[in-house]
Amino acid sequence: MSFLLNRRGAIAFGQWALILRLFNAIALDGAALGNSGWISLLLAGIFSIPIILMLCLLTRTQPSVRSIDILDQAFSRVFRRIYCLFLLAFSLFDMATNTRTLVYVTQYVAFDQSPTLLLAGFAVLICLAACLMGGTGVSGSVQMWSYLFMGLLGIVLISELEYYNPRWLLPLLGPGLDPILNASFSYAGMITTSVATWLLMDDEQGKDRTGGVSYKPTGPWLMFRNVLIALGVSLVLVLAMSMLTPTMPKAPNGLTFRVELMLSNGFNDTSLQLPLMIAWFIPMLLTLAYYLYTSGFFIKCLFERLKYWVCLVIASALSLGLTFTSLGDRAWIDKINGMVRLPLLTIPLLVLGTVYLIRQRRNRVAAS
Amino acid sequence: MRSELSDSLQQNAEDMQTLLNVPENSDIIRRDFAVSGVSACLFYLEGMAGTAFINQNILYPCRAFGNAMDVEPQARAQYLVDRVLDVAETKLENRLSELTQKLLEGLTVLLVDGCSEAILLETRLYERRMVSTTKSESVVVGGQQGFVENLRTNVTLVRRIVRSPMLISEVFSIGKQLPTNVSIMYLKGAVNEKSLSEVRRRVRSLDVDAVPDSGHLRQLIEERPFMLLPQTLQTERPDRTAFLISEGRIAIMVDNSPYALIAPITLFDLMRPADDHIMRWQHAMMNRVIRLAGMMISLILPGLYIALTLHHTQMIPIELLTSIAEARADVPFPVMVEILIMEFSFYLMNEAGTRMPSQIGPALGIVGAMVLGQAAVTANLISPLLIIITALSGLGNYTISDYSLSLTVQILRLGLLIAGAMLGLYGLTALLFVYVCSACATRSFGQPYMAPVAPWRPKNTHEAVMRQPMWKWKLPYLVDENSWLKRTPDGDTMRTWEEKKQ
Repeated sequence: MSFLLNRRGAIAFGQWALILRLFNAIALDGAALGNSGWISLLLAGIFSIPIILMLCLLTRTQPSVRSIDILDQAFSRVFRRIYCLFLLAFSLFDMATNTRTLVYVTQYVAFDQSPTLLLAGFAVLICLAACLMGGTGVSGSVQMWSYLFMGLLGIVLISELEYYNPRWLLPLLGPGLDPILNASFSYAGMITTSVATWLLMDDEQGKDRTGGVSYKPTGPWLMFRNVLIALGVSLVLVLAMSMLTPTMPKAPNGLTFRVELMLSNGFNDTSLQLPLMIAWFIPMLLTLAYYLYTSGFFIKCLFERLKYWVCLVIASALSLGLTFTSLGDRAWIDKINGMVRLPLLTIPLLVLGTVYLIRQRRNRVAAS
Repeated sequence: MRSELSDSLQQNAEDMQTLLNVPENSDIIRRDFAVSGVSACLFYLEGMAGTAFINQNILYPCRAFGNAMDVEPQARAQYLVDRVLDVAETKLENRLSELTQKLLEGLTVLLVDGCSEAILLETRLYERRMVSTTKSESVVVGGQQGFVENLRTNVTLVRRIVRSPMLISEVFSIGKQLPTNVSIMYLKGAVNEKSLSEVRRRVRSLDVDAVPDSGHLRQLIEERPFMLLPQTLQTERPDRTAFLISEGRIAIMVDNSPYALIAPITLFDLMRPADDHIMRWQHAMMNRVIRLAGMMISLILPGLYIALTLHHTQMIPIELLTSIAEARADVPFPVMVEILIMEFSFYLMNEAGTRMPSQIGPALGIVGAMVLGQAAVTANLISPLLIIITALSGLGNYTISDYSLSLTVQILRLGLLIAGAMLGLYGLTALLFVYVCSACATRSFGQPYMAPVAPWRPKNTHEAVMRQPMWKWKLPYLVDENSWLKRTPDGDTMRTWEEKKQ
């Protein structure tokens, strides 16, 4: 069994994780960003354009080589290892924070007496079982659930129409430019790492003109289209959420608000809670499965001799361990996201990749 | 013992007798006679071969043949076939094992003195069930014929519908000790070659003593035997088989079984009954939605009820919650025990109804309705709401046209019930998530089980939930795009009588 996916699977997986990750991040960063999260999202999209373009071009420089192996050739084996190590760390942290969120929500809506370990362990085990069935299964189920998710969320959003109030988006730069920019860098880091992971997992094979195997990772246009869809969906969700009048009895406090209240009895009528609950739990599990899968994938990239299932078991053990440390706290991870993800992952890759692409072009011109 | 015939009639006949356990096997008939002074010997199985046919077309012509057989002794068998015997289908054979096997299938073996080859004569004429209406796949509209226990008849039934030389029927036998004939039918040039070679490989490579029925074969060739979802489709309808073959599927038929196995399949094939493609598209789509809803109700409703009543009471509107609490006030059991009692009673009734002779079937309905319904409620064992839940989930289960899938749903429902009871909606959705992942990871003979939904193939949605008008159907996803089998890309060519819009 391999971690590599066909294009449809990679797109579905990457797109889904991006939507959920961005929505979750903005919903949960709400306290700092107020109702200006959507501006950060738009800025993040703009900041991400050059790196997405560079990544797409980079993976297409050598059609006969897998995307993951291009990193070796373009930079060096050490760079590849360091890059994979960072991506692994982010996947694990993301999984840990999302596991915490899922557990908090579950405890909030029903199981306030249940131990966190039980609920978190159950979630990780379920995701491990799903991933052990193979990437085809999880990515296939993402494709299925995405329609159901959109349907359920559509029902909820339409039912809330009377509560939407665009005035809640004002003032536009309410929290100030600094937090908005900081958040947008953080989201740009999320988008670019998601795109990088997505490209590395894409194993679509075709044949070149001579009949040899040709790997055709997602091209720039397709990638931009799918990223735009993901950003668009996230933007609609964030805008809808930001325009809702907070009619809950007490003001939101702490870093985790809104989603939990939407799930209980804040914004929604009782009858709406059921679709929302299903629309929440399953995507959360899929997001966890995505991070588990990508963590396993990067472990495999680092230690190629390890078997598929061993990588997944290690990844699930590491992420479960992180969930119970302070490192798994969303406040911490969100704070470092903007500071670490962009300078450590995105900017060096952008610089080195651009240099490599220019060199390649020069060589091609010289050869011709 | 030798494996091949010799020149000596005496020796050959004795070998045959030994292999066939004659005289213990009293229904194996040996008949010695002479043709133009040359000794010959006939073996056949009484009941499997037509005695009158043998008398008239083999024995009588041989005895009446007055000319001398002026050929070499080794050519005598061929001489008889060419000039004496009045049988259309004949074959010369010298392997003893093949001769005994064919004899057991109803063919007649004719041994001639001096000749090391025997003549196999097609004389099969045994009691068989006539082609009749289907028992388990009845439809409102469409053909009513069902398969029978005879392989030849079944192949013919399909051939009568798919009248094309491209319809191939490969017949061979499987089972090392007790061989059974198996036929693989497909449309050459339209079938997916990878799936076909996989079917051939699996069926032909079986190392098994006997495969008496298609159900046995099904268990031996499915790739994930521990998975609950069936990976082949079992049908007793020739029209359904023919339709699926025309969609690039492969039919596997086993002698003595009135069911054909279809592979590769998707989950949506199992949910399409035989009349789905016959009905007008609007009606068929409505029925599809009802069946899908029925399956979802059957699968989720009991688990959802238990999750909501045990863990998420805040989600139930207060009026309904009050009504549930009032109905349950006198019931001494926890809701989990209550629902398990009801589920088990339903399974009991279901199984009893399946095995019970049809004459006393109505009595079961009365017992079920009276005892389990009225009496249980009166005795405060079960709340009335739970009876509605169980009845709805049972009804939903009956909308699933495939028996194997409906059993699968029953088992999966139990899992969701337990997950819902233990972890509420969290557990329910988590298990549902695993079910879906598992279904998406499954492949039936190399083809994705959840196609055309996952992987999403928008051109082929008519094969899943949204049934499109017939003239909009695209080439099934299993059929190669370069195949000779074409479906019209739009309505213009199929509905040629329509005036084209300028």
